[in-house]
Amino acid sequence: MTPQPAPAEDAAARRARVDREDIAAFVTSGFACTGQAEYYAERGEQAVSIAFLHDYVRGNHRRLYALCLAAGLNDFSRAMIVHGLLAAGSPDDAAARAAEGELIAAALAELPPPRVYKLFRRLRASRINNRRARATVRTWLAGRDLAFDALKYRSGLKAATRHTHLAPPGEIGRILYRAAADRRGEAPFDNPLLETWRQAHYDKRKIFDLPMTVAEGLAAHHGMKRKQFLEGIEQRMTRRERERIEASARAAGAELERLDLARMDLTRLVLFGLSRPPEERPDFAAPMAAAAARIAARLPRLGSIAAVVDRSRSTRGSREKRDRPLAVGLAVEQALRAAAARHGDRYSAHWTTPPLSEDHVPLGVAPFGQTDLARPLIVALAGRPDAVFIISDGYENVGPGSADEVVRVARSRLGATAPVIHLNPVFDPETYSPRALGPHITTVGVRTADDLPLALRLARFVDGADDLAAFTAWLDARARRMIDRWREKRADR
Amino acid sequence: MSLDALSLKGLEPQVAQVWGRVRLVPLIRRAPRGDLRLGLRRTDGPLALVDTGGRPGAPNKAIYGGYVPHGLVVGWTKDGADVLGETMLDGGARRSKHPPRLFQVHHRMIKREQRGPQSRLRLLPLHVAMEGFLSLYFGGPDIAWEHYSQRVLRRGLTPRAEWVTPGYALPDLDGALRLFEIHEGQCGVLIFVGGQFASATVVSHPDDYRRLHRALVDDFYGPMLAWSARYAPGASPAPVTLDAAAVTDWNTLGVALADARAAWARVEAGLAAGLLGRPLVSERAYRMGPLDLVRFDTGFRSDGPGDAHHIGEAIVRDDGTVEYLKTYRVTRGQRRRGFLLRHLARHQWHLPAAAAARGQTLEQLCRALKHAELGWMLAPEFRR
Repeated sequence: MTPQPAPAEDAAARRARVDREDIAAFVTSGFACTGQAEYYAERGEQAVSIAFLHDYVRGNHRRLYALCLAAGLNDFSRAMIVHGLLAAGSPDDAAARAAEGELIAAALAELPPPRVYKLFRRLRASRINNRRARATVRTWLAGRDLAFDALKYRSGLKAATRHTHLAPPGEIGRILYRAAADRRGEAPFDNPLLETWRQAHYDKRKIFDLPMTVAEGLAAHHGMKRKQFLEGIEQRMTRRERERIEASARAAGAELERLDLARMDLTRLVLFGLSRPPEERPDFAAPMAAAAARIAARLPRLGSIAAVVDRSRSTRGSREKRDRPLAVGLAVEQALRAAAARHGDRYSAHWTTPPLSEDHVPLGVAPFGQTDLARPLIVALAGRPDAVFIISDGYENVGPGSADEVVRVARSRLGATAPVIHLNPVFDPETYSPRALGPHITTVGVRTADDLPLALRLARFVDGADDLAAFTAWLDARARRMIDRWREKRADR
Repeated sequence: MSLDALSLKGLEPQVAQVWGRVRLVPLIRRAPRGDLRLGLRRTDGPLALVDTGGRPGAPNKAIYGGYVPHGLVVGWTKDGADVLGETMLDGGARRSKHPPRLFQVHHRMIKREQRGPQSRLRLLPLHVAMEGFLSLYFGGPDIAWEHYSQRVLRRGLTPRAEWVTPGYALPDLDGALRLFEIHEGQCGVLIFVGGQFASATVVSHPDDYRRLHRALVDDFYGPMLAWSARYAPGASPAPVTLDAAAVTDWNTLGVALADARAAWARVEAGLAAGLLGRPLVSERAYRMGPLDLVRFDTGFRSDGPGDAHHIGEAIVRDDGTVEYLKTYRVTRGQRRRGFLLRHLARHQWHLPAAAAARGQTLEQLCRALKHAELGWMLAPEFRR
């Protein structure tokens, strides 16, 4: 996994290198890993591997581990870190304790509520109920609309309050703890949302004033047709809910306002597009270009770019993340294309198995063929680009190590200087990180194309251009901004 | 026609696919013909009894019992025309009206099911070879030499039994077969487990291979491979290395890559050299038009440390093209037994003569038999 140390390396330098590599491995995997099954690895294998990785980094680099909450890791990894910090108890040093506490609170405030409730359930399952854990739950709940949560996340809220011995205020207690008949019974609620909910049990029209997931159950209770329900609830859907029900709305024949593709992020667009029949693909071209341009606007100028995209069969992912590696590859390819176009730089894309024609790109590309990265990589390097990006799961099954060898020889013999960055959407439990291609290629994890700006920043750290101190300073700055955001939000309330 | 040596003429090995300690080397056939097609027939259970109808030299009708997870249906034509309805070859087992029994009963190892221009045959894969191996000189000694036990003299070598390992007991084999994609035109695969050549499978047509690919995990393999699959060191291959000195421009880099991969593939194929091009002892089991179904083994002679022996079955065209192949790697114990039985038969089962031919004393030969777990053949006073 690591390049051979130079013989003259002294203990301190060695220590610094190992530290840097530990953190680099941790951060790269924090982007890619979601605990879901992958094409090459089951869920269980991953759980063990991730748990070890977190324990290891927390034990050796506690402060950096906490700071990683601000590194832009995915939701799964951030929730893991918070859980790890709460499980390990507070640091003895008062200043460190306060800093960590703020980081945890600020990070939780940015996580989606279902993630947070899941985390609280995990706290209960692992019997973590220390003072800080209780304070964390209390602080987070103070920022929530409890009436809303009591309806939408009822079991989560109940588990969290009961575990931390928090008394739910007045009417919330009735929702959480009373028997069902009593809960919705005759007595009206003071809270308007809860009162609407109570009335919706007896009046069909009222359900359309509730959050969609709450209304869904009540619609079933009233025996309402799916079509009627979806058309009525349309205004109350969140954006994600609207995206999610698209297929079922079409199946039910509901006449909804057209799904606003322009607001979807690129990776979701690609995933959604891949799931639609070919005749709808032209509809996606414009929104995808727009989404790609949004990402490109956040990228620095990279010069001419060559992308090597893996579309081998393994990119079809697992049942839990179908087509995800392929979609990430296609989305990153589009984003890089837009980034080059923005500055008028050259761009070329090279595939492990070339698609039939350019008009099939990107949505007509299906997972197919072997993972042969070396051959397209030669073509990519031969164009003398300023940067080469490989998007692949890293399982080279046509001669392992070929891609790395190509880069080595191209640099030593042909004067290639372009950095080669491997973006890997797949976590490999065996190596505790996204699978690397070799010492001459920098590997960084990605989960969506929106991670691209961060991944580029990270690549500088992974390949050694930045040392640990510089990276820590960057993390510190991000953490400060995250905490400021949280403080502002709290002050607004 | 007998098969003197095995060649993979017309088949191109591809770069290996590696998963854990299992390596698959896909074999591609550029010009498949349509006059021999194979299909898979699932049986109701993996345990089976086969009425082999008795073999020449066996005193009684022999019953063959074994692990038979599936049968192969072979359709062929005599005149080289395409086999029609090849997809019909799958399934089509005659279901019995009775609930499934512990043992499935099959009539004959190789059974003709249809005659005429479109002929069809059912065979039990690998068991054709295994039966040939188990029933080597099944009849035992023709002359009642004093050296043998009463049982051998009366009943021959029956029952003979050998252990095998089903593919699903080899870790990573299932993963390798599931994860890697079947190549365009792929007609076969060489399977390596823990750096050792385990088995070769070749079929005539890529479509047939697609249908049979996943069934490889049900086939049986040499028991020592279960060990190699778990513990053998250095099973994962060295990464590809390029010859930097030869690279002067981008084209030569491409050439160097192709060379390195070809060399890498050659190393793989070289490991299979224990089977390919090696003199074989073979016997025709069935004749079908221009094709011969033969069973073969590697002679069991040498016993060097890295020397592997195989048994197998093949369908060979008259021009020498291998249209179907399945091999099984025998363990050292199995090789020894095969060798000793063949050696005894060659010397009319006369122990002193056989011992002299090997430059051994009678005592040494008896000990060798005993170590090969064939001691029960000997009369008590020679068994010691």
